[in-house]
Amino acid sequence: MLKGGVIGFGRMGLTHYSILNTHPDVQFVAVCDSSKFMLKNLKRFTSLKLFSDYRKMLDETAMDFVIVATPTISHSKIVKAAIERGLHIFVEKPFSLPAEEGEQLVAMLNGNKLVNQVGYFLRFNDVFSAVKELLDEGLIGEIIHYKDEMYGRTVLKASKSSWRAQKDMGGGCMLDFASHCIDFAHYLFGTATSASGSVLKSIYSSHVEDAVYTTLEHECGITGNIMVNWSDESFRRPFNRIEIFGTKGKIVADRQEYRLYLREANGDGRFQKNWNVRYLPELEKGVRFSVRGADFTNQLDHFITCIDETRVDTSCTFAEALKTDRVIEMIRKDCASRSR
Amino acid sequence: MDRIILGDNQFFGINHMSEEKGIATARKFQDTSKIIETLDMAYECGIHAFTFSTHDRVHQICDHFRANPEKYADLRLYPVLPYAYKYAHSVNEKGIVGTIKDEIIARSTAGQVASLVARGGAVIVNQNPIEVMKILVDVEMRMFRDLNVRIIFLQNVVTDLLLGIGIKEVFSQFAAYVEQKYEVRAGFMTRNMPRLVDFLLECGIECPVVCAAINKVGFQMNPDVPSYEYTLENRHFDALAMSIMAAGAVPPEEAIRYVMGLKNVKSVLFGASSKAHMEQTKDLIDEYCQEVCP
Repeated sequence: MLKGGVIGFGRMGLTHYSILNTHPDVQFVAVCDSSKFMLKNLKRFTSLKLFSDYRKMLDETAMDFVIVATPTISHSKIVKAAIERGLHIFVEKPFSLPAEEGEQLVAMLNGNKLVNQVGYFLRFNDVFSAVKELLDEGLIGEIIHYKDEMYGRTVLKASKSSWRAQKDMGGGCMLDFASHCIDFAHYLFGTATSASGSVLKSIYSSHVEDAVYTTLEHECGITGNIMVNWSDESFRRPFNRIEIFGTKGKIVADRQEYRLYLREANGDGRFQKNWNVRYLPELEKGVRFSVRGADFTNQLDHFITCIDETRVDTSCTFAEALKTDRVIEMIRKDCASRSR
Repeated sequence: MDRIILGDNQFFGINHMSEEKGIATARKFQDTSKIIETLDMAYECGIHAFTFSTHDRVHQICDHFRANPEKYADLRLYPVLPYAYKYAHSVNEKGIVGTIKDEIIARSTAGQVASLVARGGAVIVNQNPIEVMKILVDVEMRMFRDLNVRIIFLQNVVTDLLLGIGIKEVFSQFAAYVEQKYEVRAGFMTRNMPRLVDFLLECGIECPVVCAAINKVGFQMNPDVPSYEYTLENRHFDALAMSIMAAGAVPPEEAIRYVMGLKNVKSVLFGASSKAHMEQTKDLIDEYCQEVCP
């Protein structure tokens, strides 16, 4: 039985707790949060050890792993403290900015056997996993260009109090939305090495960007556009879509379906010439327990399996997520240089 | 419990097969009169039972029902609460606790606030999530006032989140409050039916009402089809089946024969926006029931 703790018991912390609290190999023993309401009620209804100071929690509780779901600004110091105490760590995305701090954390991990994962759950979506397999198979030929988008209605008016509206807390659409798209592009196309034509737009927010548009170029020569906007009211909930163009066809996919266009039918009869559409009911694999969609369960069960099997070099590691943090800095730099 | 209930996902852009199709139907129904036309079509087909999430636009639909009491004399509603996306902006802005304090109290009526103050005001809200839950139920149920409500459902994301956290009092108190105040049974929507049913029985809720996707291919059925079939066969509860065609993966007749043949399935909840589809589904269910118990 693995003993775990959660630091940051907001929307994501609660979700992760709920999903893993039902895992047969996991027992939660401690929670740390700044909300008195949360702590008071957890005390009333659970036997968890409760803390408002994460250092105290880490010092006083014997645990195997910790889930970190606090605002981005605090990731670095919490993750550092957790590595020092030899804990396996799952941290919400984005990993740790500025990237220098993330580099130090990755260096600290060097050689030890701690499982380390960042919450880029799109990699664990059953449709997107299927898209990755299609690309690896070379079905659409040589990949030329992609368009990687995320839209939502997270911010529809100027925010006063949310940490998401404050740049120094890790707010902004770049960290919340663009980070997902960049990580997903890394997953499909390898490391991005440059960003150009970057535009950051504030729509309703005064201190952070509400939209990001940029062109990335990857090590392998593939190029693509990242387009994200969290102030688009026409979307009922966050929406991700990717369109990938190759020499033999193209793929258009979102979290529920993919459409594959092939110039010629593939040899084994699975796909016909021209359009092939597959929907989630066909692609989805059940999970042992689902809260807010199977993707979240898949990513956390992956984390626990890695601990059980002592596998550290897996998906969404700190080192992988650090690449995304670097690209975020590249985009900001590119945008700043153009507006000068 | 009605054997056939029309759902409302199609009206608000929710489509389990395709987000793009969801967006397209949301465009079709952006004018509330189009939703009412569709509800009337169902009513004419003999479907008088509807589920409604507590989407802001459902206010207008309920106003329409209240304004035409004779026309909708036989109407039966199954509210599903809360419509969580309504609070998404507020949760981003103020966090979960801030949303409960500001948003929900802001939406409650003067009477509710007065009763809250009488019970200890903000102190209660700060200390007692059960009291918060009761206020939330009242706030969300307000739009259905004076209408014939049969079961009040807890929406699946909330049910499953709470199920994972595993606090029994929240479930038993929700059921007790709904029964005491609204004199109807509480229902629970879920994507984890086997686990939920066992948990509700452990909570002491007798013969709970559970609404979940039930279909041959296992779509949105966690962990898997055999676990669902085992629970349906061996536990005492009332099941309401939704997504029976798995968003199009199972043909209608096959889908209906499968779910209606399962023990404990009392009701089918389905989404449709055309009269032909409604008639077809209703006829197939009626035919099957005739065949089984003529």
